[in-house]
Amino acid sequence: MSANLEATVSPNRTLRGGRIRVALRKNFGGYLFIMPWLVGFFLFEAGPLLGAVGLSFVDWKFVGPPNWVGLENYQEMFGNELFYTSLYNTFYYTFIAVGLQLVVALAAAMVINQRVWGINFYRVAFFIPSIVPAVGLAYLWMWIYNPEFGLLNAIFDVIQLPRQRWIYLPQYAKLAYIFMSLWGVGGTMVIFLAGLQGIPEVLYEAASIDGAAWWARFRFVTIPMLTPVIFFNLVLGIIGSFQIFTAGFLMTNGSPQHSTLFYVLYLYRSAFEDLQFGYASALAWVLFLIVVFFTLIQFRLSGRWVYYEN
Amino acid sequence: MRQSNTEATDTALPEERKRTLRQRLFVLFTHIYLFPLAVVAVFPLYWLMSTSVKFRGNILRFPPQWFPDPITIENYQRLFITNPFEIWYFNSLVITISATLGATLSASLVAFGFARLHFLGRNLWFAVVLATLMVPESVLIIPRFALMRFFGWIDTWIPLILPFFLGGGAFNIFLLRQFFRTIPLELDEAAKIDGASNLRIFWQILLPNLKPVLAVVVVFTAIFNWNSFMSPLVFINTTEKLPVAVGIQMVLAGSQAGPGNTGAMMAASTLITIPVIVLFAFSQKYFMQGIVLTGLSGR
Repeated sequence: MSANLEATVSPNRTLRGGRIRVALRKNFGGYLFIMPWLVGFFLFEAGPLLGAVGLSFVDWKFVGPPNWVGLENYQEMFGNELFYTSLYNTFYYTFIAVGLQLVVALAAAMVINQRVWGINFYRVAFFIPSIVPAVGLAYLWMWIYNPEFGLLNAIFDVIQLPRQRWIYLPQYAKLAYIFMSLWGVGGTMVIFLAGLQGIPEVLYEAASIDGAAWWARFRFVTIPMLTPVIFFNLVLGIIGSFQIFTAGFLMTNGSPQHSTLFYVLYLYRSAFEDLQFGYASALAWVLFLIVVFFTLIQFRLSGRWVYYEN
Repeated sequence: MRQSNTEATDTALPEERKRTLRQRLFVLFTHIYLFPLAVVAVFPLYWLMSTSVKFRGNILRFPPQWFPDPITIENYQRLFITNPFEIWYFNSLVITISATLGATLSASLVAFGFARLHFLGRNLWFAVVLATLMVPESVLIIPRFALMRFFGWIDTWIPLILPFFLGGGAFNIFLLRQFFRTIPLELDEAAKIDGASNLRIFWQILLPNLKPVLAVVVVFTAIFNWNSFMSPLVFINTTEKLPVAVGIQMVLAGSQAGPGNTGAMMAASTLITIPVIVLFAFSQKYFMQGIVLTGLSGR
């Protein structure tokens, strides 16, 4: 539009102020509408993100002025065993949980993607666990995992397996969290369902005519057509899982033997229990870099396996 | 079903009868394997609610009591006597409703701007919106805390509500923008010729067309705020100002902890879960529709 304007109005000095006014008016409306977001972005996103960089170079206990310490917080962090423990726990949880979540969510989406009478009942049943508040979820699963009276050990008794101490045993604690997270894959499942419904029926028919059996149709039609959705769920799943906090905070609070000390829990403790805001900001900034790194890598790799129609 | 569809193209009459029989068997078979799966999915919720109405003696029993007998509300009574539960509940309602209102309004305004108006740097800013999806809340929580303290807003609800009025969440903006783009431009242009302002086009012409996706945004945001834990944990200190999610944690983590208090914990968890399920039940139709319709498939 602005190009048109320039073409009709010859570059005349006297018109210049008018052109600026036109340009202002053209842009003003748009900026007016996105203004709430712009303000929020600078105030609550960009500002704090830069603030975290600044804070990571100071020693600050919230009383008195902050003390410039340069890279000391980072040195302390890289020399601290708990940093590596929490990082390991978080990676362990994230990669196993997200992988399993994708498989379970896709399988669930496929079984509820049928035009059968009463299918909505199953869709709701599979989805509802995912909206249970994290606090309720944590207490419920603490109770299910209870070594003495818990539901899981009761089931193990029935099928004659030895009882376990679940979240209270370092070897099993993280796996117990992963298992628990599978109960909440409803959101991922619904996104897969939407993706499945977007696959044109014609493709399946063509594949059937070519003699493709169930597995071949799944492998050569469903999966390729679904790669953008898989990618979407993978990226958001990893970002989300890196941030596991509430359940860990409520259920085991890092124990036993730091085996469930997840990264954000460590960050929270450093900031709001030990009051080491500088050190915790260094942790925060490193978490941000890790998340960005993994997201970018995935976008980079996506060219090799994600299939876009156009 | 897909198979029977393709076969339907070359049907003779007797074939058709065979097909309906096969279809019925197929439906039956689907229910036979889906039903147990649904029971497994819902069972933990049943366990939560059934434990909340058992007597203490029946909760601490092994093997467990599969059906609560007799039923009691003593756990709920204990919960309300020892804690200001109704105050927390009310707080959560006020915070959730305000934040959801703000987010829905703000996100749809912003999404309209990105979808319909032309301005310098539009694509760049929209890329920034998407990029903020990558920034974890936990990364920002410390400087935000410092900022809120600077404004004197610690121990108020402002940090829990105000940010939602300013943007309403990157995901909501993205979702709504996708939807605005599906509405034909002719609608706007016709209104523009009639002399309608942008705000009017937004409010009177486009927004009414977006009801299903607005329902999705409302439900998502309301659930998110109702469930929110870390922010209120950090920003609010006074017990009487807490939302229910943090409230139950504060009290149950203290002297009342331990398996002896399981009943009250399950009662509290039931009470925090019920509004979410009710909200979902009411919006279920819109909700599933909205998600299926969204460009959520990533294309």
